[in-house]
Formats: sequence, C-alpha cells, structure tokens
Amino acid sequence: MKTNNLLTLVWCAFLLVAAGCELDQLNPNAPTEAQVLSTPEGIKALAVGLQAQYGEGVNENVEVSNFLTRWYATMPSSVLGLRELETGGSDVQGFNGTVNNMWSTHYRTIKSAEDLITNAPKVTLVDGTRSGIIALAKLYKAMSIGELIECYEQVPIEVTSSLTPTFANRTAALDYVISLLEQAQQEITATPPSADFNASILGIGFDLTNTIRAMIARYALIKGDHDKALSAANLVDLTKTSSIFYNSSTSRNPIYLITIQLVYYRPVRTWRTNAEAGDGRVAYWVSPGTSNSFLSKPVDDFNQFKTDNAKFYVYLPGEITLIKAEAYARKNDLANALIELNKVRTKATDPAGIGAGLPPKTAATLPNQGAMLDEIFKQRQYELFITGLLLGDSRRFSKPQVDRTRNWLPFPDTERLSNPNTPTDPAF
Amino acid sequence: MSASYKSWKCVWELIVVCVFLAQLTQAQQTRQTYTITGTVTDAKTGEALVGANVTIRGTSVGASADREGKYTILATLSPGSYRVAHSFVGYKTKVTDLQLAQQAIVEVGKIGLDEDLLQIQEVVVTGTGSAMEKERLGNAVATLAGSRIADAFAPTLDAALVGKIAGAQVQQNSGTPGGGVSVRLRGTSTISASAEPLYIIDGVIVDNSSNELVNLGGYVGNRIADLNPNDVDRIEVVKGAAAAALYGSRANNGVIQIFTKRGQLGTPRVSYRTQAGMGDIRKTYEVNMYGFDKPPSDATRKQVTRSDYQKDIFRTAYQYENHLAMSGGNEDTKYYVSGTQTSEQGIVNASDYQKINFRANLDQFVNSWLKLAAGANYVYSFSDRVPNGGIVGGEGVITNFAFQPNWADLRPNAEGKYPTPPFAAFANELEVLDLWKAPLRVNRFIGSLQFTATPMSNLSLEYRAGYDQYRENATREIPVGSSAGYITGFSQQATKDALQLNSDLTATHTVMMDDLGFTTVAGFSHSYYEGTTIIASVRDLIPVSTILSSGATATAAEYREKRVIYGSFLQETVGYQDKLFLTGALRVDGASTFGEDDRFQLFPKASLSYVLSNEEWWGETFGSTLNRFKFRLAWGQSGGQPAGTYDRFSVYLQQSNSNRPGLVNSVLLGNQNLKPERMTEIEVGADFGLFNDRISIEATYYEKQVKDLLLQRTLPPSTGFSGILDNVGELENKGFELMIKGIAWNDDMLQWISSFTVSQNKNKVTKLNGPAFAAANSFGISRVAQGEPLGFFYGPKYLRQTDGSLLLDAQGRPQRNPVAEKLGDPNPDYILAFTNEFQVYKNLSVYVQFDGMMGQDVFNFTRRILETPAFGNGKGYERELSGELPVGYYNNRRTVFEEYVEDGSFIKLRELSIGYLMDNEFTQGLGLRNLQVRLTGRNLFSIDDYSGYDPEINAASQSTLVRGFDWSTVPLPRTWILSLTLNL
Repeated sequence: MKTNNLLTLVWCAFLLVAAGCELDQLNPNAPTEAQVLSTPEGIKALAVGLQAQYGEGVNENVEVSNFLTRWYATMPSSVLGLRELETGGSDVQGFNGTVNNMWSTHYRTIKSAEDLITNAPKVTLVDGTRSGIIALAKLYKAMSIGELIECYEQVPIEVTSSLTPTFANRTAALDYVISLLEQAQQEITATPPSADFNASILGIGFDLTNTIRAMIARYALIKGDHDKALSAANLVDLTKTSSIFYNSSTSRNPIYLITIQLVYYRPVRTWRTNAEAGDGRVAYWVSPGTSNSFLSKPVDDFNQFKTDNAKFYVYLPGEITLIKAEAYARKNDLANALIELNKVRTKATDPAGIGAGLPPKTAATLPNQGAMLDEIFKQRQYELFITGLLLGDSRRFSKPQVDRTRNWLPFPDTERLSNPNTPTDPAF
Repeated sequence: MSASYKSWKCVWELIVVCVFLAQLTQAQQTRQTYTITGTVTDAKTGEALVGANVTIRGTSVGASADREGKYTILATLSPGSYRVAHSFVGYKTKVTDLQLAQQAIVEVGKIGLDEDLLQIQEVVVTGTGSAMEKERLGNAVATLAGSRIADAFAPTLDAALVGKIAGAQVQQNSGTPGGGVSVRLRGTSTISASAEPLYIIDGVIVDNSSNELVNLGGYVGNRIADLNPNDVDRIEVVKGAAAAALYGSRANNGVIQIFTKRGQLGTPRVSYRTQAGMGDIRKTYEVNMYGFDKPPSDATRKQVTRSDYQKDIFRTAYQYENHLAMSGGNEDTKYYVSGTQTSEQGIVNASDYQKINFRANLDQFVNSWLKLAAGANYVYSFSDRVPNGGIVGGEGVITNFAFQPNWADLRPNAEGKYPTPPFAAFANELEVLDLWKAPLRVNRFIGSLQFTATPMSNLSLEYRAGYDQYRENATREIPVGSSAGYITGFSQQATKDALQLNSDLTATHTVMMDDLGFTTVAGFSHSYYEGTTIIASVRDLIPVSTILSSGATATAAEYREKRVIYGSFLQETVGYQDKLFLTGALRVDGASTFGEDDRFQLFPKASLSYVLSNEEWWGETFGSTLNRFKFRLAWGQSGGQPAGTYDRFSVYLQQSNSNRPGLVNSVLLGNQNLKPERMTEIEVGADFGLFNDRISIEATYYEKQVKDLLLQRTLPPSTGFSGILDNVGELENKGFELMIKGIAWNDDMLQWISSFTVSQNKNKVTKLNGPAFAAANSFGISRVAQGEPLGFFYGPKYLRQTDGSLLLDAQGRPQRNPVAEKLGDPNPDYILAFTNEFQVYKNLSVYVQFDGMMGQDVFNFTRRILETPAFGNGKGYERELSGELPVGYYNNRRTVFEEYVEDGSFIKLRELSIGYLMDNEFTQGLGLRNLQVRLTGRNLFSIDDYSGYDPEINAASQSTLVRGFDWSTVPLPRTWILSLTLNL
C-alpha cells in the first residue's frame, strides 16, 4: 500500500535525524579528565598544578608539628581547630579542621602525582620532559606521604585505584617513600630532564636533583637506615637551595596568610628565651614580642614569611648537615658527628641565610652518644624551627610525653565516614 | 557510545516499528465511501454550535460544524455499527449510534448538547499521546479554562493558578512584579534539582528557569512570567507519573500544559481590553518610636528621633494594560492574533515592570487529510528591580529597614549625597532606592509548527517542532561615592542566552473490534537545549557613569551548556464498551546528562479506568442519585534530570605555579554512572456524579516513592576527591486530593456554581545515605535529614522549666538551650480552596475565591533582626528601652531560633471579581457585539496569625529546599483592577 510505504519512509527518516543528535556532549567549561590525562599539554599543566597543590598546604604540616610540640600558641583570631591542637589530647578529634585539611590537601597532591606517574608514560612527550615529570611526581608523592606518616600512624599509599584506599603501616609507608625517591633519582639519572621541563614545568627555585637526595637522606634517617641517610646527604650540594615559589596574586604563601595577615597564632616566647646566648638563628625565625596568646602564654612575633611572595625551602642546607651528624652519632661515630655538628653551630650564614654563629663544641662537652644526640636535637630545634620536622624529632629523640600535646593525629572523620579501611585512632 | 547503549536503542526501535507496522498491515475489510451529515446545537437555546467536533469513535474520521452548526463527514469505512461523538468546549459530549450499510448518504440529524457547567466531560491530551476523554483516563488530570486565568488579573500566568488546581501548591514567593512563583505538584520530589513542573505550551516544552544572574539578595523571577495570561485558552495539569510516557526523564515534577487561543469559524472577532489598577501593602510592621536610643540603666543614653522608613519604601502602585485580540477563520484557515502591553509598578518604590507581548496562531487545512498549525509568540520585558531579601548580601531595601537603626537620619544632604548609615557594611536604603539600579531585560521568541495528517481513517500522524529562545540581560549599577558597601562603585552585566528545540513525531492508530477498541500511540521525541551565560563586572568606577567601561578592575566569566534528550514511547489503550479502559505504556529516554552506560532509561506506566455507571445494572440500582461513578487506578514511573549538565565529567581547574598556568582536578569526582532520579507513583481514585451531575466529586489518593535521588556523597579525602554526585537518596510524598463541585442554583435568573478543594501531602526523606545537612543560603536553618520533611527548620530552643514555661536567668531574661532541635516544617498540612461563581441573568457575574494553606511554619528572620538590640527597630524593643524588660532580654531572645518559627497558616480572599456584560441597543449602536466592565480585587485580606508582612512569601524565591523563609521579602500586594472589554 502506497501510504504505508510513505509512512515507513517518514518514520525511518525521523529515526535517522534523531539518532544523529549527539548524546555524548562534552563539557566546554573545563578540561575533562580524559582531555588532561591523554594529551601532552594536559600532562604538562597537571605537573605545574601538582607543585601548586603541594605549595598551598605547606603551613599545615608546620602547624601540626609546632602546635603538638608546644611551640605555637593561638591568638584570639584563631579558628577553633588550631586551639584544639594547642591544648591537644582528647581535644583533637576526627572533626578537627587541621586534621582534615592536612589529610585532604596532601592526598590531592598524591592523586595528581599518581595520575602523572600512570599517564605520562602513555603520552607522547620528549624523553627528558617525561623523565622530569615522572621524577617530579614521584618526589612530590614521596614528600606528601612522608609528611603524612610523621603525623598519622598509618596512611594509604596508593589511592587512585580504589574509592576506599587501604592503609599502610609506618614501616611500609617509609619504605615506599624511599623507594619512590630512589626511582625518581634513577629516572633523571637515566634521562636527564629536558630544557623545556626545567624552563616551563619545574617550579622557579626548585632543585629537583638535590631535593630528591635530601629527601632520601631525611626519610632514611627517620626510618633508621643511617648508612643510606649518610650517603644520600653526602650527595646533596650544600651550595644550592630548593624552594617553593609564591607570588602576590595567583599563588600566595599560605604561612604568610595565616601568621601575618590573619594572625591565627604566634611562636611561644620560651623558644627564644631558651636559646643559647648569641644564637643567630633566633632572630632569623622570630622577633621579640610583647603580647600574650589567647590562653595567656607570652608570645613573640614571626620574622619569616612576612610577605605573600616569600619562598618556602623544602629542605634547609643545615638539615642535611644535621642529618649527617645524627647518622654518625647513631652509628656511635662521635668524632665525625662532632665535626658535622660544629659546621652547623659555627656557620655565620648559608645559602638560605641561616647562621647560628655559635662557638664549636668540644668532644669533652659531648662525651657520650646521649649528650651528642641531645645537642643535635637542640640544634635541629633552632635550625629547623618552621619546617614541620619538630614533631617527628621529638618522638625520634624520645623526648618525654609532656613535650607533646599529642603523639599522632586522629584520622579525619571525613575519611572514617566513607572509608571502612580507616584504622582505629591512636590513643594519644 | 557504548555497545550496550547502541544495542538497547536498536532493539527498542525495532519493537516500536514492528508493533506499528503490524497494526498498519492488518487485513482490511471491504470499504465503502459514506457521506455523513448532521447539525450540532445548544440544547437549551437551539443556537448552532459553530466549530463543534464530530468524530466517529474508533477511527480518526471527523469534521467540525460550520456557521450553521452543520457538518459533513466524508469517510471510507467498512459497513457496520459505529458511534458518533458530538463535542464542543464547555458542553457535554453526546454519543449517538450510527449504522452504516449500503446507503452512501447518512443523516444523523440534529443533536442538542447540554452545557457542561462542572467540566465533567473534558477531552485532555497532556500525557496521553492523543486526545482522550477524561472518562477513559486512569489518572487525575486537572483542567482550567482560560477565562479563569485572564479574569484573575494575577501578576503572572502561574500565579493565577493558586487555589484553582487540587493537589498543587502554588506560591507567589515575592510581591515584586515580574514573577517569582513556585509550583509543587503533589509535593517536592527532588533535593538537588529544580522541583518546578515541566511547562508545555501548545505541545512545545518551554523554559521556566529561575536565573539568578545578579545578586538581588535572594529574589529571582521565573521565566513563565514572560507568557501572556490573556492568550490562554485552557490549561491541563498532570500531577503524577501518568505523564511518564510523553515526558519520561523530565516528568517527576508533573506537567503543566498551556493551550493558547485559536481562531474560530465565523465572522472575525475583535476584542479590546483595557485595565487599570492599584496595589498597596496589606500590613506593615509597627516600629520602635521610643524617644531614647538605650535603656535607662545605660549612662550614655541619649534622646533620639525615630522614623518609620517603611513609609519611604512602600507606595501605592499603579498598573495598566491594553490587550487587543483578533480572531476568525473559515473551514480551511483560522487565525488568532493578539498584542498586549503591560505596565506595572511594584509596591516598593522604584520597582516596575513593562512588557510587550505579541502572539499569532494559525491553523490551515492543506488538503482533506493534512492540517498545519503554527504559533509565534514574541515577548519583550523590561523591569527596574530593587534588591530585597537578605538571604545573600545585605543591600536590600527592606533588609536595611531592619538593619539600620531608625534613629539615624538617612536622608541626603543638600548636594544629594546620602549619609553613611550606622551599619556601614550594609547600605542606606534610601540611597539604594534612589541611586542603585538593577534593570532586567528579556527578549523571547517561542514558535511552534505542527503537521497533523490523517492519511487513513484510523490513523493520524502528528509532527511538532518547537523553538524557544530568549536572552535575559541583568545589570547592576552602583555609582561611585555610594555611602556604604560599594564605595568605589560597582557595575555588572550578566546575560543568559538560552535556546531550546523540540521535535516530536507521534502516530495514533485506532481499531474497533466489536466491543473492544484499541488505540496505539507511538512516538519519538528529541529535545536540544543550549545555554550561554556571560557575567562581567567592574569596580572603581569614574564619577557619574555606571556602564562597564567606566570601571577599572574587571572580572568576567562564561558558562556554556548543551543538553540532548532523546526519547521514544509506545502506548496501548484498550477500551471495552464505554466501561473499562486499560492503558499500558513504555518509554525509553536517553539523555546526554546520564552516564554512558546508563544512557537509556525505561519508564513504564499502566492505568485502569472503570466507569461502573455505564454498566446496565448501575442505572437500576444507584442511577437516580449516584448517576456517575468511575474508579481509576494508575501506576507509573518517571524520571528527574540532574540539576547540572555535566555532572558526569571529572574536570580540571586552573591552579598556577611559578606564574605558569597549571591544572588540578576538581574535588568533585564526575559520576560516570549518573542516572535520573526515579519516581514510582501509584494513585487510586474515584469520580462521582450525584443528582444527575449536579454535584461532581473527584477523590484521589497517591503515593510517590522517589529513588536514586541525586545527592553529594562524601568520598574519602584520601582519594583526592571530596565528593561525588550520586544516585543515593530516597524520599516519599503521600497524600490525597478531593474536589467537590456543585451547581448550587441554576435557573434563568441565577446560576451559582460552588467548588471546594482540599489536598494533603506528607513529604519525608526516607534515605539520605549521609549525615543531615543544612540547605545552602538558609543560615543553617533549613535542613535535610533522614526521616524528616525536606527543608524542616532546625535550631536552638528556649531553656524551659519542667512545666514548659521559660527558664529565665537571674535578670529575668530568656535563655537558649544550645542543643539544636527540629523547630518546624515549612510544608503545609493542607491546601484549601473554596470558590463561588454567580451568574445573574446574562449580565452580572461574580467570582469569589478563598484559598489558603494550613499547618506550615514560617521562619520570621525579619522580626528577629528588627528586635535585635543592635538594630532595635521593632516595636517590641521599646519594652526593653523603657526598662519594662531587663537589659539584654532581646539579645538573649534573638539567639533562640524557636522564637521566630511561626505558624504560617492562612486563608486569603484571593479573588473577588464582579463583571457586568452589556449587549443591548447601546452596544449595538456603538457597533459592538458586547461590552464588559469588570472589577477584580486580589489578596484583599488574609486570616492568619503571622506577625510579619505576609506568611506566603519566600526569601529564597523558587528554591527547592529553602521554603517558608521570610527575610525582608516584598509581600504580595492587595490590588484592585478595573477593566473594560469591548467585543466586536
């Protein structure tokens, strides 16, 4: 029948027209995951963003470290979460802001790093650019896990494969950090980073090679592998520095924002008054103040990060020397330990501008390993005040419990509520 | 495109085409050509019913009556017995038997139709696929005549629906002219998306966005305001999943279809209406006029002079409108053309609304089997808006009436410079009224084109294309030197361009087999939406000028979106005699918003209608009293689209390092398995007619379960994400609707029709899959929690003694219990309406409508700020200033949110309309068919116990979750409108 044929034709034509309308609409407002992770431009931009993610959270690690070791005190303007860190103990619960922020900002960096490690090899890139990006990603992932494992007892170390990541214990996490760093080192040794990587991806002022070595030294020492710590530290070029770049518009120094602009907290005055007379590092970190904190502790003013574009050193040259001193001391090689210790005590300044300018110690004043370690601990307190290392030091040097308001942070509620693998909270 | 998606689609298309072709190719009996003639008249007056519809049941064959009421049907049919239905809008359908045998010319005779005063026998099309008598439907469909909309003189078309549809909660959220109405059909069925129904005009889906392009403190209009109430012929409202077959994944909130007027057979008609009106505020706050600024105990107390700044804010607002419509046509061509010009002042000084609306509708028969219908509607509107509502920001005029202590003199100095108000972070309300500008312009075109073909007597094909395009442009201009808030000035331009294209192809095929009738409807639809929003703003303006280029520090942003929805459906209705009707339908929807593997979604529905009164035994048993009884049952599933267009994508955002642009992932993980929210509804109901349809009752009970509600699910932060929009929530709405309509009196002198509707809906979130959360922009007060209704109020209560009285402190001040608790529910328990329509002789008509809501709570944030001592403008604070109450009484009380949750129940005299129609020698002398004068009052009074301006408003406008929130929102004005209509 003629009409039937005609109708069938109309029907089919409509099917064709309608089927031609694309149901797979792309999002024009922002690059999607597929676009970023499968293109050279996307991978490069993510490598830039990775460094920014790490850079915007450097304050959190320092805050946990210095509140828990009682060196910071909150001012009236502070948020409640920091005051909970200051008073410590059971005041710090899983809902605490810093507990949550430190965790989530670090894992955002780790997630980006894992995406780069997985996807950079699949994308067409100049060899040296690829190796640079992979090494950079492994380094930032290692630094982030390293900082977390100094604050939380257990941490997930592989996160992009599951929406409920599993947790690794401290030993496994430290081993993993060191192996990541060694892989990063091998990556750039085998294929040196390209000029394009150095000029347009690597952050201004950041020394990739020396930072990898410094981090191997730092985490090998924390793990107790003193030979590895020593050999890595010996490779670090102490005439170089490595830092996070900030500017006054798109990436402002977060420590400046909180300590100078918002004045949430100040350094406790006893840090300055307990210092050895004539220690030049006191004035580097703080300037004498007259105010009291919210909980009535006398406090000083900060003398670092006083502008929004102040750089943040990812490690200080003095730390490397002190790693050597500690490694020797723990191996009971007190002679070499004293040599390294005195380098730090006596330097008038260094590439980072830090100098104690103190007289050297003699072997007689530090007769045994215990005395040597005590002295190294004290030097670390003054050399490395705002670096986020003091909490780990306090535990590693077996300082009394009273020195710390908590040993470990509880796990964040946001993690516990949605990840059944979250371990029970540490007692203190 | 995934494999499963493709195969799904292929299988589905095959089924649809096969079923359809099977019907087409069924054996055809020997056919003969007949000429069937007859006449349709008004049974009472004997006048010809020009344009009445005559159809032969079980076929697509039909005709309309000409100027003499005569019709002629030319049809090729098989001999046998048929039933001929004669219908006309406003009249009861009459069905007669018809025997077709050898004789080629058959005369049906004169058929007189009775007026259908209670609208019992209407034909509806919404959600049914093809025109269908209400009697055959298993679900309730509410209908409303256009005259009720036009004569309501409501500010917008949707606002006119209040109290006129059972089961609909229609709420005008603000008295600002230019819209702001929310409609909830059988409760709120979503949490994260819009809960407004789908609006359709003459088959074309139209945009009803509430675009908050610039921040006016919470006020935002919705785009239905663009439509012209004068052009409405009738409205159909489908509340439940019954609309699923046609609108699938967009049907969760129900469907409102608007049919515009079309040309009629006969001499051209011209109708001109002019109207003028005035509105004012029904009630204002009593303000603090105490002569001192502080209580007697305060040594710094000084004498002050206070003012009631409400007098400077509110005014008597005037409005006028001119409407001209012309319509007519012959058997082949019919047209309707209209133009309307509206000008309306708001009751808040400096606010107004101007609109020009043009419409043309054309119907053309191309030949005996092909008809074309086209419609075009152009709208331009311009409104001067004033910020109000303190939900976002503190620049509103009424907001600052509450915030700025009224001992301050806010008037300008001799140079015209306004003083900085006491709370300098906010604004000087007099300056905002005088100098700040926030105009809105809308240009909109809505077009439709429809082809209807009846190539065979039992088959009709319909193709419809719709086009809805608008540009909405909002600006905010604050000159430099402003006293507060924006000292360096501010200028902002925000433009949204939206385009929506729809095309639908529907085929309807009917077969009669003895007592059984089959109607098959199959269709495809395609919908495309494209939107672009651009926002640019500058600060640091030069003096005098406030355009964008007069500023120094600029920011700009753009957002684009595209959405494609593609659907197909198949529906079968089986009718047994005129008694039993069964309908089953399946729809498959694919949408670009869903995840690739969840692209295709199936929505089934089934319904049953059993007209027991058409059984022979009925007439003998109940017939004399209960003359009509129908039982109906409907079950169906429908969907709800996600609020965002691109929620399925994981995206990267800019974050720069070392002055280089970089990318980092958004903390919201895209959901690759995103699906629509899915509602399953069951409704059961009955329709009754008593005393020969003198009383008509419709009763419905329904239960709606919504699953797969889209909510943000928290992800472990160790994944690098904070959350994902996921189909995790569940909620339910349960309720009933009852409508009783009756002819109270009907003789030559007086016709009196009375109607009462009541509906109840209970809303409850049954699964949240996460902790309770506060709705954005509600100051933490409106909340969502498992086991509670959406948007319930939450906050601290008073500390009380065991006997329930307040536990006062040593100074005699109330105290706050810091533990937050549930404080109230903004959802009404009952929605009521009572209307009476009187027609005295032919000339005088009176309509009275009372409607209201019972049992809902309102959070009166305005009163909280008014009595807070730091601002202290409320009358109550006088008692603390005079020393009658202890110092700090109100400061303590303002922290107790329980105090500000008030009963918002109200009954309003919504409409009182008196019209006089003149058609005598005088009007004939003027060359007029007739003339009508009508006086209408709206919102004349309210019976309520609410302490604020108006319990009906909502500061968060059309928000889904923040309801019943009164915070410096413009109340609905009381208006009187006088109109004169000349018909020629």
